[in-house]
This record gives sequence, C-alpha cells and structure tokens, in this order.
Amino acid sequence: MKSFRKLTIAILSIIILSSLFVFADDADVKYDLNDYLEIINPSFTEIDNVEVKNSLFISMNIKQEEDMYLTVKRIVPVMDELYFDKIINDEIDKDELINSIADRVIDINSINEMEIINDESIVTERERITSVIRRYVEEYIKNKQMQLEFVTMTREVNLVYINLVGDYDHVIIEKYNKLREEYFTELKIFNEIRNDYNELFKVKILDKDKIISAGVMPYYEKNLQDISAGRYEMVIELFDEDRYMLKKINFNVVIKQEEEIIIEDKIELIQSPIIKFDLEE
Amino acid sequence: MRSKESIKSITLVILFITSLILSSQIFFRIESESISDNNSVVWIEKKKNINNYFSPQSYFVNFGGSLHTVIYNLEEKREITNIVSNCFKNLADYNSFVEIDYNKWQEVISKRGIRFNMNFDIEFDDFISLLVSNNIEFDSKWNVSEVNIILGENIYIRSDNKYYSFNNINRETDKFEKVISKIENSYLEYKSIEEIYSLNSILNLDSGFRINNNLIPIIKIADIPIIEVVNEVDIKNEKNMIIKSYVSRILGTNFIRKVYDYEGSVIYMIGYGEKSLKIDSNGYFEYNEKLLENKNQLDFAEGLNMSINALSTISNLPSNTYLSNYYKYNKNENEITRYEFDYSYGGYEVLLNDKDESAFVVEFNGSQLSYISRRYKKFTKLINVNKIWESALPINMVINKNYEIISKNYLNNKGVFINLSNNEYIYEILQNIKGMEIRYYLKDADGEEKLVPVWELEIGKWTYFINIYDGVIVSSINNEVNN
Repeated sequence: MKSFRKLTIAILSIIILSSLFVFADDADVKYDLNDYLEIINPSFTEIDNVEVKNSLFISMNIKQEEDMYLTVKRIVPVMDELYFDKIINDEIDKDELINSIADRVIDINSINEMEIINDESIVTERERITSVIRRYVEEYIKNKQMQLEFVTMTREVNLVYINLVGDYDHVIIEKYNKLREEYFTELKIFNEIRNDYNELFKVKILDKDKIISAGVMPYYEKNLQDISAGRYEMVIELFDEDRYMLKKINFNVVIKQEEEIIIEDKIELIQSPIIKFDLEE
Repeated sequence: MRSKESIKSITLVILFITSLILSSQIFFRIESESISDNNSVVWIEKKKNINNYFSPQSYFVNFGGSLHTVIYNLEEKREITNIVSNCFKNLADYNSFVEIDYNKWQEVISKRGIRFNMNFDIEFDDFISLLVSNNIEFDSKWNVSEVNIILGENIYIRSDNKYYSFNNINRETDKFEKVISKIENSYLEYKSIEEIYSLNSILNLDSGFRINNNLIPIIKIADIPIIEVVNEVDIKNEKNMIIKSYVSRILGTNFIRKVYDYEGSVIYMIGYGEKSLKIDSNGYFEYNEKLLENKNQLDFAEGLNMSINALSTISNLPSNTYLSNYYKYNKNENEITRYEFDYSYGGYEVLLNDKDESAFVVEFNGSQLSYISRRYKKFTKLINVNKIWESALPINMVINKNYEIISKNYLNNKGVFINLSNNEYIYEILQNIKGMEIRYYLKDADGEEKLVPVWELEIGKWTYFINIYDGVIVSSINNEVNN
C-alpha cells in the first residue's frame, strides 16, 4: 500500500513538473514576423540601398495567412533643429517658425488642414500638427537648456571628484544626482515627442495595404510607381486576437542616372521659407 | 463588199501579229527571271546577307544588379545583332574558349550585359556562319543554346548544361555600353523569377538547384495592339491575276494540270506530279518536287542563301523574317536539309498555330530544292485595345487564373494525382517556368483573322498561349507528345 502511494506521488510529481516545463515553454514562445512572411523585394542583401528605375517593387512570400498590413512612408529630410537653436538666441520668432513648419508638413503630406479630426473638441488637422510641432519645439528648447545645465554641472562634479582629497561637497553631489535624474526623465519624454514630430515628415505612399496572397500564389506583390530617391520606411503590422506585431525597415532608394536630381530635391526640401530668409542674411 | 472583206482580213492579221508580240514578251520576261535550271523555271539567285536572318528569341538586358528589361523592338534588336556579329567577325582561333562551371555562369548573369536564348539549338559553326554571313567550319559539333555578353568581359555561351567562356574575341565594349545606356533611358522593368519568388530559399534543393533566370515584367504592359490580317492570296477569286503570276513564277507557264481537291485547295502540276504547287484556302503555298538522286552537298550558308532566294521568288519576304529552325532528316533514304523561317510584327514573333509549324519552310535533297512552304498573312490594320483593356494582366494573375489546368498538366506529367486544392506544388511549378515571351497568335474570330498578343508560357513539358490582356488560354500544347 505504501509503495503504491509512493508510486502515485512520484507519478503525480512527474506530471506536475512536466506541466510546469510546458507552461514555461509556452511563456517563452517568441513570435517573429519572419514566421509569417519573408520579404523578397526590396532586397536588403547589400547595405540598405535599394536601386530602382522609377518604381519600387515589393514582393513577399506569405508563409502563414494572418491579418497583416503594409505601410510605406517616404522620410522627408528635416534639418529644422538648426533653427530651434536660433529661437533660444531670440534670432527667430518661435510662433513664426512653428507656423512655417506646419505649412510645410501640410504641403508635403497634401492634407486638408481644415479637416476635423476630433468632433467633440473640434480640432482640425492643422491644429493637431501645430500642437505636435509646438510640443516638440518647446521640449527641444527645454531639453537644450537642461542639457547645458547638466553638462556644466557634470564638469563641476568631475572637478569635485578629481579634488577628492580636498573638500567633498555633498550638496553639489546631491544636486547633481537630482539634476541627472531629471535630465534623463526629460530626455525620455523628449525622445517620445521627437518620434511624434518625425512622424509628421513621413509621407505615406502606401497606407495599410492588406498583405494577402494572390489566389493560389502565396505571394504579395506591389509596385509603387513614380518613386523618387530618398529614405523610406516600410512598416509591417500583424493584428491578432491576442497579439500585435510591428516591424519597421528603413532603407534608401537610389535611382540610377538621377543623382543630380536627388541633390536638387534635397536642397529644395531644406529651403523652407525660413531658410530662404536665413540664406539672404 | 470586197473592200469590207479586205478590212476584216487586215484586222485579223493585225490581231494575230499583236498577240504573237505580246505572248513573246511574256515568255521573254519569265525567261529573263528564270536562271540556272535547265528543266524549268527556277529561283532567282542573289547573294543575300544571311546575317539579316539571325534572330534570338528576344534580348535580355541587365543594367547591373537586379534591373532588367526585355527587348522586342526590331531596331534595337538589329543594332545588338550587328554588334554581336562584330564580336565574332575575326574569330580565327576557335579554341580560344574555356569551359566554366555553373556557378561562374550564374555569377556573370547578374552583371551588366546582354543575354539571349536562341530560337533553336544551333550548331556553333552555323551560329558563327549566320552572324558573319559566311560559311565557317570549325568542326565544333556542339550547339549554342544561350549567349551572355558581359560588358568589358568575355562572351559566355551555354550549350545545354555546359558553359563556355570566349576570351580571344572583339569585346566591342563601347558599342555595347552605348546601346545599353540608350535602352536604359526608357524601358519596361523586368525581374528574374528567382528575384521575385526567392525559390532557392523556399524549395531548399541544395546543390541540385538551378536559378531560374527567366524574366517577368513587374510593370504593367500596355499598348500592344491586335492586328487584323488577310490571306496572302485568295484562291476563290480564280481570275485573280496574282495567283497566275505566283504560279508562273514557281512553275513557269508550262504547267499541265490544274486540280481542285476536296478541301478547296487548287493544285497546279507539271508532268505527272514531278513538280506541283498547292495553294489552299488559307492562301498558303506548298511546292513539291519529286526527289531525284542528288549527292551534291550544300553548306549551311549556301543552303540558307538559296532558301531565302526561293522564298523571295514567290514574293518578297517580310523584312522581319528570321531563321527559326534548321536540321537534317531522312526521307525515302534521302538526306533532307530543312530550313525554317518565321516573321514578326512590331518585334513580336507571329505564331500561325500551336503545331509549331513555321511560316516559311524550304527543304533540299542534296542540292535539289525539293519542298517549299509559305504560310503568310498580310497585315491590314491595327486595332487598339486601350478601350477594351487597360493593360496586360500581371503574371501572377495569369498563373493564378489558369492554375487548375497548369497544375493538372504539370502533375500528370510527373505521374502525381492529387486533390487540386492542394497547392503545395506552386513553388515547384514556378521553378519549372522554362520560358516566357510575348508573341502574336493567329486567331480566327467572327470570320476575321487576327493576331492577338499572347504570353507563350512554357512550364514543365507544356506550352501555353495566353491572351496577355484577359489571361484566357488561347491554346496549349504538350511538347512531349508533339516531339
């Protein structure tokens, strides 16, 4: 009887332990978009440059059908930070710059600035864009100021550490640690806002196109016409009942024989009204 | 009354003399065009530039990396052919080639250059003869299947599953670069099957895998018009002077019999069928001569020149005619040499039916011209399709639309019988695409004959002719049965 009990306990123990392992395995399952699809084109075998004629051909092998979407964005080069510094020095009016950037965002995205995006508070698209820019500009200025303060204080603290034999100023160290903490918290917020800001300069050329097989062919194919040279972002999203997966791929589109045009294009983008004003100076 | 009789007599004499003069003029004209054979009217003999009849299927241009296009434009094709011809013009040392392995062949395929498949596996000596318009005999005994010219490098040739590199050759780099750069300004983008479908990683066949380099357009093809055509001659119109003129050119004026067969064809014969000319209801010509003992041998270039002359004697050949096949076979213990030709419209080759019959055929028994076939349709007008179809269907949709038939044929040939809902063979089928070219296919619709643009899609042992616009299979052939 005793031995029967022991045997039962042993068997139960094995079952419980093995179940634990199984659960542990389940918890460790990592989902990878590569299990669902393979991006064939553009081919990223060589650095991140994709050479095209004037269309961007995208092809993917669909390994498992899921609710997947593709978004392709053109990243417009932005060099506005040079001008944010001028706000700090009162060389440029902040509101004027924000309005100018908002104009440009509306222009490159070809959007209706008066479109109401929130019925309840009657917020227009322009107001939303202006608000993102304003937050970013203000955060940028704040961050710059904190950075300056932090760098200065770091130097001071370094001096304290170097002269360890001399007076050890606890007040400075405490003040420094507090500032350090505040600065890194601020940096985190700044980076989040910067992402929102950068998103304004990503022009969607393909918006949430469903990645689906063409009948019996387990391939998704898309040819984006009249593509121009520059930096692009490909966003693949997978929606499922219990998970969401996102994959972002950045790459440069290079158009052969059109190098001169690329340079002109970039110059034009940099030359916002404000910059023209600057150049005249 | 007497004077009236005199006038009648004089008129009669004048008429008789006039008829004699006119008839002698006809005989004189035919006589002046007929040369060389003692027995009857034979063929004009002029030295033709046989290089004009060289044509690969189409030219694949690689701009470097994965940017490709396919050239159908006749002018560009001729320009490239002339440069290729210059490359081989002074090939004195036939042994200046080395065998290379598959990996090297595949490595050079991705480089900037021009590649083409021949219409048929042509013996290397004949390939050179055709290119340089002169008979060349290296006694090479191997065939040319595919040629790859890499800019500033060697010329590479595939012969079935063997690969060669020619080193000692005129490279003509500047000329090739010039023509490639010109094409690069405006072209339809193509990608290879491997570049689109990445079959190497999916099929995982290890060393047995051969990259599928056939090209597929990734841009929608549009604006290839339908062409309305008519018979070259209309035999229903018996009084048609054109028919008489053709017959006199081929048989002379002394043919004896004119026979109608049950299919409505008309046959003109000399003697008891020693020579005959048949013109059928499609306006196709077929000339036959009784085979005589003839041990004379024609070399490739000589025979080709005579073939072109013979076909041109009937009527001028279309300017875009090319040699599409050449081989020898035995018939009643005689060795027959056969030259086949086809032609194109707008750079797209014309297929008259799915039986792989060529538009023009000439056969020789030794040096005796024993057979001619001429199957030609005259162009009448273009029908623009932009109001019917926006553009051609992408290839994936073409395959998708016809997958049931394609997979069934493919698997039957493999001896596999499965439920068609099982799509696991799709990758294998894609890997087995052996060729893909745009052609014109002759189609009889509502009593009118039209040349319709089709994809000639070769998968496994089957060839499909598929309307490029609606994706409907116009015809299909099992090459295994056909051969």
